[in-house]
Amino acid sequence: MRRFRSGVVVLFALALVAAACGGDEAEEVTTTAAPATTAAPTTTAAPEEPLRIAFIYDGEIDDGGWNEAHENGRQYLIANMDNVETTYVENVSPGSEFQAAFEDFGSQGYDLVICTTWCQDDVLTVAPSYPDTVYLSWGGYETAPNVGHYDGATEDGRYLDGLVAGSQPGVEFIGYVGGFAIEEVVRGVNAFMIGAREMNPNIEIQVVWVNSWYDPPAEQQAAQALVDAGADLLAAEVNAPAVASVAEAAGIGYIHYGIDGSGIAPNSWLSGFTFDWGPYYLSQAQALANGTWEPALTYGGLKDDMIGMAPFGSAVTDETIALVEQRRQEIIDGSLDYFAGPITDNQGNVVVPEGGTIPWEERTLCCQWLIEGVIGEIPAG
Amino acid sequence: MNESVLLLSLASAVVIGTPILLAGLGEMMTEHSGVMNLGIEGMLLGGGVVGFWMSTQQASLPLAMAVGALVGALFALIHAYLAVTLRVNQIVSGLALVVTGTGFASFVGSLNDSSLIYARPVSKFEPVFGEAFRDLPVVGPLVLGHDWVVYMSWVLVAVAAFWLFRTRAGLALRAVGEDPATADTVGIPVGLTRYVYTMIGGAGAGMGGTYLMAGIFSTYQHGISAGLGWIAFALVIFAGWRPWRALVAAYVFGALRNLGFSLQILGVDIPPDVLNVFPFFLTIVALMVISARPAAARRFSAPSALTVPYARESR
Repeated sequence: MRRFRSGVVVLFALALVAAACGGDEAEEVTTTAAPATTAAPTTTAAPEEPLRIAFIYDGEIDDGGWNEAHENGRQYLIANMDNVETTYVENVSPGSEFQAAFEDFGSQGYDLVICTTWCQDDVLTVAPSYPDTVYLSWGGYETAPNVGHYDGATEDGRYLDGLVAGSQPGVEFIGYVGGFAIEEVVRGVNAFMIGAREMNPNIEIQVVWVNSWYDPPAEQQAAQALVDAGADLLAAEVNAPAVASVAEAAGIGYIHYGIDGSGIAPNSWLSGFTFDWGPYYLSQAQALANGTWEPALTYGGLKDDMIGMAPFGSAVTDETIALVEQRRQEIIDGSLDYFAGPITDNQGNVVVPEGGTIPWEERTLCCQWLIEGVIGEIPAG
Repeated sequence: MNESVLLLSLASAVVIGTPILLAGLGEMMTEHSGVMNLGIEGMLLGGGVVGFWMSTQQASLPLAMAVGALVGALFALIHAYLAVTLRVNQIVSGLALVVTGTGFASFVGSLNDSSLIYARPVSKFEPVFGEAFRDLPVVGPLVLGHDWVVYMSWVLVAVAAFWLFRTRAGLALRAVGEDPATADTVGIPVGLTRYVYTMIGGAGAGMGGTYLMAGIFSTYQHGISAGLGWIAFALVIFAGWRPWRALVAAYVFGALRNLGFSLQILGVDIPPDVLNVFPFFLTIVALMVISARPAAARRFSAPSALTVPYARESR
């Protein structure tokens, strides 16, 4: 019996080690306004209490994708605002874990809680109980007195990505690994195709859905299946960089999603748009500090500096880079609308008539159709 | 073109099946000694992350595989100490190992300023045979197009089968797994045997993890195995604890994971999630078929003393 007990003790020790290492367990780290470490004391001119901000991530902050982009936003905030104290929690799952995290930070009196993935329903459940805390949720649409939402216009970046992909010599069949076939991703595929066909009208895109935002083996296999089917360029819209390694191994070009991932596929890297959340987080935090914060829906694109472009790879010509920059400026000053009709879907239906467009306010409702030239379908349900 | 998509999909199945096979073969040896180690997923990630790190530091891939195997074996040593010496519940200990290994991998993966995600192996696993062989129809991509790890795994299957059923040491091993008390009376060191084979199991998982990261992905990502360790565990049962069957089953399981995406490209709408369930579903079917036939049940069932701790002179 004694032996059995000592075994249990060892097991507990194991579990503790595991928890400390923070594999599946949520992990909480606090950083004060001082950049990176606490070594350099900040010149806190304002004597009042620091603004306390909590970030909630559904994955790990160095995932090379979605969460890393948000973490970069947090770092931007720390670097550009005085008298702010931020903390974050990793690996939180939607549902009860989100709600528990929102309640934790609410009851600790945090000024701002930012949920960096889809969590509107969980936020709206908890927010009324903590009226002194402001909650921001990514991708939501229903505001409340202390709840605002934000989202980046993926399609702005995806159109530019399409220009880069379409200008690659010899590229006609693009493999596209999508997470879920939701509006945002479909909108991105469509904008990508508009850009790609502007450069080369023969381009076709094959979409494969992995039905996950983070499943490296599935992403790897989906990408490999696309290469096997003859794809001569790969693009991805999933959280993690597994598709990049397949492109690298196959020696074909690669377009990343949401963050500068040039280090992931040094040879295949072409470009990819980036989510630049930092300026938005900063503006929200400053509005809170000044007492001017209002609940709002923020949908930011190139013109709002919420979407940017990662550095270009060596295979992208100066000519293409200049064109991408020109189109970027045209989108920013409003002279170019890449969603201008006519647009036909891949079933042959005219979805945007001649002279029509998809207005900015209705962007997030689009799309439930795949544009002409995209092979694949939106799964039912 | 459609045929070639399926053919290449099968070739990819051999590649993704290899880490499953390495880990499953190791677990099979462990289970033949009467120890069940549910911690494959943890050992795969824990051994793999160190093996991958090794591959980013120097050019020798065999060395990276060896280091991965060693770390996997060390993780298994924890399980052996708990399960054999302390005689704790093997299922609980194995599950603890999953959490430990996963956490360890995340910890190591984020240690440096720039995480392991951005690190690359120094050298690549190159195909063994020349292009002339690889371009042969059908056998080219399926059989001759692979790197040395795939062929090594075939050799290991043959060695395991020979070892288990054609050598005295294999007989001793199976005796320990079937009836440790009897094995003990004829002088077979039960505890030592279980330690050794549990560590061999860990080494298999560590090698599988290293190949997964350094070979198939050329990158580390958090939770990169996404349940391959559990498929390896199901593989042992599905294969009826027989190495050659494990070889076939590993590729069937690998193909099932791959096929969903190839079918999507061919316009057949089967959700990949459905195909992902198949390894476990097939395992249950195999168990049902085997248990319904007494002759088969005798040949392909689990070692009798599996998960039962052995203490001399206790009943």
